Amino acid sequence: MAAHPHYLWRDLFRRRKSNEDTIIEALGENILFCTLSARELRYLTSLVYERVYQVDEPIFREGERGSGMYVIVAGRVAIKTHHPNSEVLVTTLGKGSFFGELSLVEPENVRTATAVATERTVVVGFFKPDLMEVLERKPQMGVRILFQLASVLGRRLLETTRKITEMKEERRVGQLRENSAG
Amino acid sequence: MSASSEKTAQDRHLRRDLIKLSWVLGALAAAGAVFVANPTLSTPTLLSIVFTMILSPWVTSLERRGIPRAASIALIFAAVGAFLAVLGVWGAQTISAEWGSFREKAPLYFEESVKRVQSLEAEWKARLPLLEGQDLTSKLVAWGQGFGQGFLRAAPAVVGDLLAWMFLVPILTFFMLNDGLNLKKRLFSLVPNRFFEPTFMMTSKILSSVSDYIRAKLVEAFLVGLMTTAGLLLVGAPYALLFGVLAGVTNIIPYLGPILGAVPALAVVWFDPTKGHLLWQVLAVYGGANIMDTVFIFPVLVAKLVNLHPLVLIAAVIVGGQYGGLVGMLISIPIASAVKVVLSELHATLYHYGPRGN
Repeated sequence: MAAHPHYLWRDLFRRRKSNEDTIIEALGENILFCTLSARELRYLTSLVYERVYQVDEPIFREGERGSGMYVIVAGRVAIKTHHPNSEVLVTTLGKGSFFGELSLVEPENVRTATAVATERTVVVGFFKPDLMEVLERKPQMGVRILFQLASVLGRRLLETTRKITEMKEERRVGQLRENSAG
Repeated sequence: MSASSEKTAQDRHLRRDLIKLSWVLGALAAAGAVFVANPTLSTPTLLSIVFTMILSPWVTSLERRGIPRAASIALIFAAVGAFLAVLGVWGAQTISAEWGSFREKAPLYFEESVKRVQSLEAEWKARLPLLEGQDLTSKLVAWGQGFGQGFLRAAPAVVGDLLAWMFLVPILTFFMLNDGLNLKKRLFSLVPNRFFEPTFMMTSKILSSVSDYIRAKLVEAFLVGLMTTAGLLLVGAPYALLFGVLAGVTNIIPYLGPILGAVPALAVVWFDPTKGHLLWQVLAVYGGANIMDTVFIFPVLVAKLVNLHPLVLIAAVIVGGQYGGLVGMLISIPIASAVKVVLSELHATLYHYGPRGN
């Protein structure tokens, strides 16, 4: 039988050095933190929280309150949204991806989707109080993170706007076809 | 994946999380019990937590200027140490002079107070025949002597504790300021996944509200102490600095503190035959300081941070006093505000936000 990976003694006596390097690497590859120096990444690692999730274990659920984002260090995470009669798989994310970043800036902190580990997954959580801590203690570093976060959110807004425009255009063309056929 | 297999997986995680949670709660309860049973350990730790909360913004502001955290803490310690040394030398001289004079006059105050109580007793006995046969003055004197002897017996132990704290508190404060984040991370690593984010959010809010409250309360105490000292100096009351410091310190206790702080000064001017004319002026100084505090300082500095109904605050202070004496009164408001954060978070989670699709 495989050893359970997430019991108390494991959490307390987990080998920290190699973990720290893996986390630094994962954070450094992430778009939000890629502009940070090695020293800043090391400092950031001292703030973030490493969590291990098992297969089918939810990281957070739609409608719950959350306070931050997660970066995947190892494993895969499925992002799903709930509809009245079904659950829709939005996407599956792998190592280096991040999710839940809206909670860093959204005042109500409500999760807009469910995140579930599809295999044994290691994530690091970066939360609003940590971001505030960075902004207070190292404002230049905090501004760089916020700038990258704003770029990501801006890009998503552009993509959403483009998709809405496409959908509206498709609907307009469809209506025109219906009218001409009628 | 089918709904039933997902449910089974969730049940498996729930069992694991509950086992883990019971371990964590058990460990916390054991640590809490050790703390409650050992005031020698808990008092300096509590004091260190308070000092950490006070000094933390200063350390952060130095760190913001590019100074490493450990060096920032060392600099703050050096500055605070130097300030305390200067203040200590000056304050100790003044207070010890005032204390010496107070000690000299204490027998006079004692005699005078016994005479006043005797005359009051005679007056009351003349009005209320029920009191005949009761020797109130002797009882009061016996109680006063017993209290004084008890105080003298306890004094060496108190001085020993104070000396131990003088060494322990700075060391503990240094480590809390330097390694607080690591300690917090270690503790959170023990929280099961399911409860991690709610616990994290709640703890962050509690820490922020308690540290804001402590900082605001200390500023309030300093201002009240300053106003009282200035007022007592202006009216020419004795031991102005000693009673000013006492008024500031006792003001930390909500509602009861200002009364406790005023009693010694009022007693001294009432019992001192040469200062009796100052009674109303001293009362006006304490009343004025209290009004300034209630009308301006408390609403601006403290009330908006606590945001609890005055009745809840009074109840908290009474319960705190009943179970923990003076210390219980001091920590009652931070505990009440922490309980409020927990309850409002639970209420929000249970009634306004929750997972969809379950």
